Amino acid sequence: MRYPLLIAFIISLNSFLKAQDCTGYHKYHCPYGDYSFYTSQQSTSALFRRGQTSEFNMVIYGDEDYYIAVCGHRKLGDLHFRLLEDNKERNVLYDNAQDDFSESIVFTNEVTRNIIVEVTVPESGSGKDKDLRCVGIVVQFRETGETEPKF
Amino acid sequence: MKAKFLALIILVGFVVISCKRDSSRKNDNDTKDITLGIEDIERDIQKVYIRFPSPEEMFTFIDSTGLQYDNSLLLPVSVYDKYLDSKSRALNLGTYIADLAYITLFQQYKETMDYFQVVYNMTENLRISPALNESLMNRIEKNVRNIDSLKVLSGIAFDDISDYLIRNDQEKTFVLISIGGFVESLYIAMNIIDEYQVGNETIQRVADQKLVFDNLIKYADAFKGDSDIQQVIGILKPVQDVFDQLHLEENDTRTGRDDKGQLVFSGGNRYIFSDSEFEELNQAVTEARKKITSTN
Repeated sequence: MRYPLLIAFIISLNSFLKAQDCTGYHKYHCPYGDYSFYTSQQSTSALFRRGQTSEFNMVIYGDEDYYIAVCGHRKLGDLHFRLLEDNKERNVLYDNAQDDFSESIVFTNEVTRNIIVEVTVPESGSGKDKDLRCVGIVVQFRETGETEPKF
Repeated sequence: MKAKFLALIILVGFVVISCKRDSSRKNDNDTKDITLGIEDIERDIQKVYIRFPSPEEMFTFIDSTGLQYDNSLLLPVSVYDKYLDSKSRALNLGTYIADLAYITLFQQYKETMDYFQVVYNMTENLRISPALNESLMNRIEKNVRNIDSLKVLSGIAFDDISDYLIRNDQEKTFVLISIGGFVESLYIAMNIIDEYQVGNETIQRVADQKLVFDNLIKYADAFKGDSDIQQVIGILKPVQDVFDQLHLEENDTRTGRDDKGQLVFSGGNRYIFSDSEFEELNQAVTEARKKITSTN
């Protein structure tokens, strides 16, 4: 074969042009809360690069308990997520780095508010991994105190 | 030489075609590889995503035991086939989805099935019926007397519709469905309140819709180049004007733990209605709903 480099280039171009459609990733890859929770439409998935930080602006209702989980491909390592108040101060309400990079959190919310779920995918140790991968966010809710399974 | 060059061209063609086939073949719910150009990839890597709760989530807090079910608030099932263009079909699919959430809350079994059927028919009219599969419809039929299962199944249905639309580059339709659903759920919530009372939790939940509305409009703004979206945002302008007038009661947010060690977010700002603002919003929402559900 006289064109090995060209063929290798074409194959690598093919791989590069293949990115991931992340729609629904969270449904099949993220842990869910127990059966006392309903799933919120605000659950979502998105495409991330190494070292990327993205924000997910959401509304959480008052007098509800929330379960939020953030997950991604194991090759991404520990995902860092924070819950921030959506205002000028952007106060940190929760930081999973202070919680051993826990994948999920349950909390009670007393007043309806906007929050930002800020997700950061760590840089690759070698700096060589340029893969694009999916990250999912599961948001579930229940009336505060309603801890009985629904099903 | 020419033959080898030709073979190379065929190989390139094969690689490109295989990418495209890949994207059309894998359309189920797992992670999928699809062909994207470099610009598409950059577009898909966003820094900020806007999300908002569904109509069903808005109704969840309502304790139906003390309230009277009122089917005159609903858009009748008989008019669903009067919507002939894609904009009104999408908007009113949202209306019917919100109605369904209300009906489910009051465990109206016959109407639940009727409205699920209309939701399905509307997805057919919009040519997005593959979003709802037959097994889901069967599960709904089997669980029609189980309110918790129905809540979950209607959530799955809404989610399946949104995933289908996003996956098929029809997010604009999802915006219209969401706006229709938002207006209908607000219309119903305002009409199940007998009279304005300070501290009433349903009234507070209606005031809280300002936050949902703001996120919905930010989300819709990404599609404002579309004339249908622009027109519908125009319909919502009077609603926005009333929401923008609401008084913001400022309080510090506190984080702590309850006696079981669970994280608690307390305090924080909240929007408050006056009696007259509540009435103004009621009028603005009723007017917007009238325009959206009009069959003319």
